[in-house]
Amino acid sequence: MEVFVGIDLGSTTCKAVVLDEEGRILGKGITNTRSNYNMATRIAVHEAMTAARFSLLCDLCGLSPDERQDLELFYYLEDYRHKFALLRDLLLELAAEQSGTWVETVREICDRVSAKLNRETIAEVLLDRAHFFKDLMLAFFFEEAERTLPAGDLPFDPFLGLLDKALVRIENEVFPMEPEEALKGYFSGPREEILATLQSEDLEIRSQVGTGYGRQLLPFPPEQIRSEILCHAKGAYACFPGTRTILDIGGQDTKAIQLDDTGVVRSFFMNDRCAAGCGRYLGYVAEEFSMSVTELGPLACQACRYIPISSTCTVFAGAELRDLLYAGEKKEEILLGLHRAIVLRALSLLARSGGIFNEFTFTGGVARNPAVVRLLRDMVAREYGELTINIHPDSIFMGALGAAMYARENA
Amino acid sequence: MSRTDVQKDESMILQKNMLTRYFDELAQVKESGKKVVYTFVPGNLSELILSFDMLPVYPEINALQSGMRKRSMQFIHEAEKHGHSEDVCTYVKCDVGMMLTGNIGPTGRPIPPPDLLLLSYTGCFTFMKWFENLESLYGCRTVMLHVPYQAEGKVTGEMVDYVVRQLREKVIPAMEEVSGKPYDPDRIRWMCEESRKAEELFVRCLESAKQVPSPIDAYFGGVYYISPIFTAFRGTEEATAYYHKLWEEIQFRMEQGLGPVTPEGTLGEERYRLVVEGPPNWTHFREFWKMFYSQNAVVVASTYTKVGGIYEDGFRHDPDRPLESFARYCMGCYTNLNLPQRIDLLVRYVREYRADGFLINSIKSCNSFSAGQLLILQEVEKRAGVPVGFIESDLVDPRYFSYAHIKNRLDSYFQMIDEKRKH
Amino acid sequence: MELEAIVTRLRDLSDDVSLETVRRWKEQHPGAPLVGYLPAYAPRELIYAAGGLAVGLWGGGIGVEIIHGDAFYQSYICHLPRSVIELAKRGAYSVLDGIIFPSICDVVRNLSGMWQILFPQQWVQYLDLPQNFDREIGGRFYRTQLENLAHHICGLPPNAAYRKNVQKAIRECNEQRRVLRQLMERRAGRPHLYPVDEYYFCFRSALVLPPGVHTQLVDDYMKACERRRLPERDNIRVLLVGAFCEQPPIGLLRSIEQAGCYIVNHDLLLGLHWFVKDIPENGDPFSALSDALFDNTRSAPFKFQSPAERAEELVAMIRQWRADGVIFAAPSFCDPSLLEQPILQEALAKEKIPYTSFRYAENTGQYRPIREQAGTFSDSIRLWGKEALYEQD
Repeated sequence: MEVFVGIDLGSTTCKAVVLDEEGRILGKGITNTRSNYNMATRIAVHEAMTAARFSLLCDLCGLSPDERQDLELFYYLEDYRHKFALLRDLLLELAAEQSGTWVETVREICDRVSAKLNRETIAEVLLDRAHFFKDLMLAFFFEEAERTLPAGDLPFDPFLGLLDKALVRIENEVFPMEPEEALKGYFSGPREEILATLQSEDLEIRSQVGTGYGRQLLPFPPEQIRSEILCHAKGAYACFPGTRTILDIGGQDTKAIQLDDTGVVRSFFMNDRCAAGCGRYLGYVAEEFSMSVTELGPLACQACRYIPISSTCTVFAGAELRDLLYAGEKKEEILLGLHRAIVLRALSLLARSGGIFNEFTFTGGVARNPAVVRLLRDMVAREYGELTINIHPDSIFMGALGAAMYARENA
Repeated sequence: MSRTDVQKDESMILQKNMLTRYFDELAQVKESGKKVVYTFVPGNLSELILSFDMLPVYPEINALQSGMRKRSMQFIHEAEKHGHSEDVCTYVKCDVGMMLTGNIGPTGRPIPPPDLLLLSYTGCFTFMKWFENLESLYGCRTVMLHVPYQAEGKVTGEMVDYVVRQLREKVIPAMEEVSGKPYDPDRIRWMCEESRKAEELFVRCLESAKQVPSPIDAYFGGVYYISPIFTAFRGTEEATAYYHKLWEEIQFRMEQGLGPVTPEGTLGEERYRLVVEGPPNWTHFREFWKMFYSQNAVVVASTYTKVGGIYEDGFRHDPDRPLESFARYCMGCYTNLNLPQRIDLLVRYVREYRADGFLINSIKSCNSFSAGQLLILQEVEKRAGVPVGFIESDLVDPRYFSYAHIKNRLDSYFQMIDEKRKH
Repeated sequence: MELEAIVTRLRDLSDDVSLETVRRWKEQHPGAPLVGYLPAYAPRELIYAAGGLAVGLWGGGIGVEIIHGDAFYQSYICHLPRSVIELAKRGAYSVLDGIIFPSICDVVRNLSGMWQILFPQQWVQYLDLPQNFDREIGGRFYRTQLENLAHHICGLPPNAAYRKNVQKAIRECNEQRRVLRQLMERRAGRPHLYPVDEYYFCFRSALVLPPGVHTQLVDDYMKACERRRLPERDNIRVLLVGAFCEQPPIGLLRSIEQAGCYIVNHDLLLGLHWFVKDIPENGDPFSALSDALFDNTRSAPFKFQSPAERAEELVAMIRQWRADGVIFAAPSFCDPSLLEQPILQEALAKEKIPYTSFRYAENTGQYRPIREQAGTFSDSIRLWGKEALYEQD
């Protein structure tokens, strides 16, 4: 079967989408971009292709959605365990290089983390593909390190150093498992023939198109590279044909795109000079508050009032936040103020691009933040009246979807 | 693109010679005793200066030359060390920095200090502060020529009168004192006649871009075409000769259906015709130009080529009314037009030059151009109905030119035009 | 009126960026012309002479959230025009008949053209302040503009009765300027009796009041202040230079004073105190206004002046007001303010007068860095004397 692949190589995440000949989405993949762009692209495509193969498999073998989910959980868990085993070995190696006494402590922490790598604990995380192995490991290791380290002779910072080093290597060197290998244990007995079907699947990439900030780095000829504005617009229009204005807040840039009623881009504005008000900014804030990025929005939503934050400058974020905390302000109120500043910034960009026209589609990683969404809805209603606001759970894939659509059209 | 014709056109050689002689003259002022007048391009009174046998120097041109020769960064650093803010116009900083480090010009020889600063206060507030800084550094005399802003979109009798009286009672007497020569009305008359001839030819050169395909690039190529007429040569026979030659060459290209000359040869297929608003970036001029011609984009009309005067509506220097001509000339420079006039002009360009799109290169340093460009963008889109694009850079501070960002936006913009065509 | 009540009134008027006061005034004076003016100076007398109210549009400050205003300006342009457009788009300025844009910089200049497109229902007059100070040349040019402005305001060319009214208005504004000068002198003499925020409100409230009412209010305030007792601080005395257009937030001014610097003279809201002595109240009023512009105004970044004279004037002012140093406070991206700093700072260095400088925006929320900077400046002068340091941004 011939498929078409779109790749969106962004600054924070790399996405891939696989379409079939009819233009249906077969699979999506996402990974965090690392220093090796090539690797990031290959991993994202692999994940998308794996998901595509699962889709095909489910069709061919008549598996139910629950069965599919079960299958995917098994696969992802196997893959994580595989990565974890390699991470563990590497950590022990690095610890041994530093000090013999550290090895025991590190081993203990790894054992504790290993115990958490089970379906019950991490099913949700596994199914949300935008949660990456690195984030999960950091969260688990932090928790266990806080419990274990104070008693021993391994200080926190050096441990973090080891962990960081090891994770970087795993990310840049370890490829996801092939489904056949990972699922051997799953497809035993009466289900063996399903494994055979899986093995005989033949997916061929007929054409691919790359986009995103890093698209010039992709080993594609120019005809296979498209502007991220156009890809994004195409993807959004395909999902929501009524779209006229699109706002995308990504890791490092914000885009405002205006479409005409045939889906053609009329104008666009980008704010890519600095990461103020983008995903990266939220990342810094999360670090400052020792939280994970995904916890920021929900906490902000608990506040009743907001502290006005004058700038979303990442460079000064740390200082300003620390000041406010020391002054006794509540975390959630500071966070609400921050989120508000982000939304204001986005609205300014939209105003600059000509305004917000019905329907308004909001995409990008930051669209998953409930505080941003709530504030955006309120402020858009206030400034532009009641409009339809589209927020798709998979909006982070819009660019890759558009690219895949171009790949299919070009072929 | 044809690589065989990357040889210099004769007009380019003429221009090069003109500039060489000019810089030689500047280098020899001690011996010749000629006086030097610093002034600005918008509202430049080159005929007047030359008629007194004085030599004009244009600090803006020095700055842009420094930018093109990749020396502006060090000059800007120097000026910032001297106390100038990061926020201010980089032309000023580049000039001040150049001066603080010996005032070495583009030919490697020092540019002589001014005997007079002719503060032609036209179209840009920063000019006033620029020359204040220079007066403070050089300790020389400044004469102010306040050129009124076309706030209501027109030039009134009172405005002309104001400028003419300043010329008569302040500027000319100052020049007489500094040069030691009397005002020479006959010479002025003669020079205005030459200016008129050159202006006539210059307009034809620029309007050639109305043809499809355009024989010239009216932005990147245009910066070379405007040099003689906006600076030390307008009113001279050399300038007229240059524009004769240029017009000949352009006519040839028109007859042959040839595209414009680029650094890599004649442009082949013309894919995108653009109207561009805003000055170009100088520090990465070649790379910036390449982003256009590598996509077969030609700029058919630009507003930057009007900073030293707008001639297409029929304005010419009038030998019978020289002072009034100077007044009207100054007031007609692009940055002295009000915003509605600028929008009208741009919409007209899009239509008359059959453009596929409108693009703004917004310059961080230049509030005169930049403040209000976002509204200009919206209005032109509304009225001309073409795709519009917006990129940002600076004049001569390389820190504000991001190749990746600009390429990203330009590529998206060109693809946008393509998509629009398909539908 | 009690001091507290006066201060509350002054504050409310200063905070009235949405022009509620002006709306109420309009209801009480139907048919009277209402004319707004951008910083820094407008000949308000021409508006009062027509029975109207002149309204200073000096930006929204810290309280105005900008959404629409940012649509028109790139990041490297100052903040003032954003809040002005924001307020205009929200309808705050719909009550005005026309707007005056003085020639202080390219941003305000271009805004005049933008206004013609965005708000065509209001008349716009650009005031091209003459840079030639010859009465027959620049003076004539300016007088023509004043006549045109009067025509805009009244709807008719100015006649003899109107000119008489302009003379009256000049008298009123002279009185207002005298009272403000008096306030400045009093504050410079005993700054502790005039807390800086109240002091600032005295100026800012003038933007929305008829001059007579404002004069009375400030007079009442001064009288009440003389009766109060407040502790004196061991502060140095400074000139605040550069904040003539976009205003710093009040919190910033407070921070400077709390950090140890009394502001004894400044160019905040310059147009209100630009004339250093009375404008002649007799003779042709347009000539009086024009001549006063040339002869009677203090140094301003938008007025042509040789750098030597500019510097001389600053040094003279420092001596006159017995200042220990200068704080250069310019809005970010303000070419007029920022470009003259090196000239002035060089002159100060020669005279061994200490200075420090920083940039702000009208909506700056972070005062700590400036408090630290002002504090260090103040300490260094008090502890080590005036020859100590010349701190820079």
